[in-house]
Amino acid sequence: MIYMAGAYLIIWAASFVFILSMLRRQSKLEAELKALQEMSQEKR
Amino acid sequence: MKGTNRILMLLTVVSAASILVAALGAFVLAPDAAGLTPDETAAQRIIYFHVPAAWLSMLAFGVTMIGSIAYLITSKRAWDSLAVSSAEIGIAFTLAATASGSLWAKPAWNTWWTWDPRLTTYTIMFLLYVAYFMLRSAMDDPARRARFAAVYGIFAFLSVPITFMSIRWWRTIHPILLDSKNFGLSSGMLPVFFLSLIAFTGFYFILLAYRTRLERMQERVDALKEQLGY
Repeated sequence: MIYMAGAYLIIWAASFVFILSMLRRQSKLEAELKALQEMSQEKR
Repeated sequence: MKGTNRILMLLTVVSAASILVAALGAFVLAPDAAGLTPDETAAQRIIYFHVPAAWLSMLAFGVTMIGSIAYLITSKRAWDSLAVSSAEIGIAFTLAATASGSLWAKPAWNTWWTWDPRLTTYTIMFLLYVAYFMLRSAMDDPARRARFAAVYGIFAFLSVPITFMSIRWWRTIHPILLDSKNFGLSSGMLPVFFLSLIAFTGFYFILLAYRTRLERMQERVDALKEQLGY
């Protein structure tokens, strides 16, 4: 059963790392987008 | 936009629930395989995760190829976004399939890894898609990057049918499920197997939706940067 649980954990670890990296990139992009929008409004 | 977000959230919940049901099926409902040692019997259940992960890696790279062809025809950046998003998910599933396969191989083949034709071609496929991202990161101009990546993405896909056929073309110790009657599974195993395939395929499309959304946000950032002269 340890192999089965191991395989299941690996699939979920891969998915979790992928989703976590997406969330991290999303929050970074949101901050960047907000800063850029503010700069764009200041320019006007 | 809010409506789309709500639908995506709902689909995410449905996908998570279906994955949980598939896991329950794999751990509890599916019957044991006959004629195997206890270790092999437990490891055999890996099939419910390993095969969907391998299938999704190939599907993801197929979507990358479709996105690449569509980009070369239309020059619309959305197709490039789809291609790169799917390739990234494909890489994640390739790693998951390789690792879970290795866990199965230890009790079944008495080794974690061997240079079997399927394992070798699968590794080459993985490296080709790692190179896809190296190629992309080497170019700053989005249009040029998308064009080169699209051409590469189409050629890289050639590795997918070769990987799929490798166990039919060359001598192998890897099981050939598709050619066996009922995929070599008993009638009790088949519904759980298909449930896993469907649940994981749904999960792939959910991940793709979130990943392409991220890419669209990157496009907005790039457009604003250009507008501001960065």
